[in-house]
Amino acid sequence: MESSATKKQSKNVLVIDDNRNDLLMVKFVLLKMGFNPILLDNPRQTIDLLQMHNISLIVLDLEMPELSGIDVLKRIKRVDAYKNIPVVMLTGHSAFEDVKKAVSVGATDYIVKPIDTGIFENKLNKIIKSDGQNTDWIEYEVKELSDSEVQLYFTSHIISIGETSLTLKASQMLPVGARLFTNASLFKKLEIKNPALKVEHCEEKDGEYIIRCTVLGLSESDLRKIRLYHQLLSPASGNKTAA
Amino acid sequence: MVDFINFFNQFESIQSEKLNELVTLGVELEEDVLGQMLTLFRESTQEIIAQLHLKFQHKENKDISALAHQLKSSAGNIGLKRLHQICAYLEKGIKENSLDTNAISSLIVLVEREFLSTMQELKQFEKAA
Repeated sequence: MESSATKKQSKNVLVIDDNRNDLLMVKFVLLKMGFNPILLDNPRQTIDLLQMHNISLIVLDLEMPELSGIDVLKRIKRVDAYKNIPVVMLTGHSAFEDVKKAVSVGATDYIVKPIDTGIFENKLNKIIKSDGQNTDWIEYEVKELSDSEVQLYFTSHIISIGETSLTLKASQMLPVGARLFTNASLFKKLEIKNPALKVEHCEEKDGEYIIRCTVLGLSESDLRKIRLYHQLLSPASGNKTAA
Repeated sequence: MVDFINFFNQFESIQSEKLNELVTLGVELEEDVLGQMLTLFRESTQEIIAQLHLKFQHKENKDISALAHQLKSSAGNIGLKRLHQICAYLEKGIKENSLDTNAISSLIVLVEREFLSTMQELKQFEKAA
C-alpha cells in the first residue's frame, strides 16, 4: 500500500467544488489514495490553476451557482494543452440527461454525491490506470446501479480504421448486428459527423473485447477524407489509428 | 408540519457506518478526519441556516433551493441521512414549484431542528470514537 501511494504521489488531482465540505471530503479520499489534491472553490480560476500545476485528473462539481460544471468543462476542453486531462463530474443527483450532457461535452465519468468512498476510489483508479484514454466513445448507455452510482457503458478506444471499417477495443462485448453511433475525435478531426457503425465481429482478448464494425452511411466526400487521412499517415509514425 | 415530521422519520437520523468510515479514514491518514469534517459542517451549516431564514423573509426561493442543495451534499458526506432527505425535498420542491410558503417555512424549521438534534448525537459519537 505504501509503495502504491508513493508511486502516485506525483499525480496532482484538481478538485473544483464550491462546497467546502465536499472539497474536504474529496481531499481526504484522494490523500488516502496517494494523490496530491489541489482544491479550488472558485471555478473561475480553473484555467489559472491548470497553468500553475501539472494536473493528471480533474474532479468537477456539476452544480455551482457562479459557473456551472458544464461551462467549466467546456472551457477546459477548449484549451489544447488541457483538453485530454480526464474530468470526472460530481453531482448531487443522477439524472441521466445530466450524465449524457456532461459526457457529450467530454467528461470521462460521473460520480453521484454524497460520495461513496469505494465507488470514488474504483472509478478514479480505473481512469488513472487507463491514462484517461477513453475520450473516443461509442454511443453510450447510462445505467443507475444504486442511489449513489451510475455507470457509463460502451466507452471504447479506436485501434484501427479502414476505409469503411473500424476496429475498437472495449471493456464490454457488443452483440453482432448492433448499430451504434460514434463521437470519436478522429471523425471530428476529419469533419465527419457522428457516423453510424454496425458490429460485424466481437471477440474477447485478455479481458477486453475487440470489436470490428462497418462504418455506415459515409458520403463520397467522407470516403475521400478517410483515404486522404490514410495517405497522410506515415508508416514510421506508428500511429495507432492506421489501418 | 406533523406530516413532514412523520414522513422524514422513516429515514434514520445518523448512518453510523458512514461515520465509522470517516474514523477509519482518519486512522489510515493519521489525521482527525471526522473531527475536521464535523467542525467544518457545524460552522457552514450554522451559516446556511441563518441564510435560509433570511432568504425566506425576502422570498428568494431560488436561493433557498441552492442553499438546500449545498447542505444536502454536506449532510450526506457525514451520514446525516434524514437531514440529507429534508434538504433534497426542499431543493426539489422549490425547483418543481410544488411547495407553498407554509411548506417551505416548515421545512426550514425542520432543517434547523434536525441539525441541532443530530449535533448532540454526533458529540456523543465523537467522544466515543
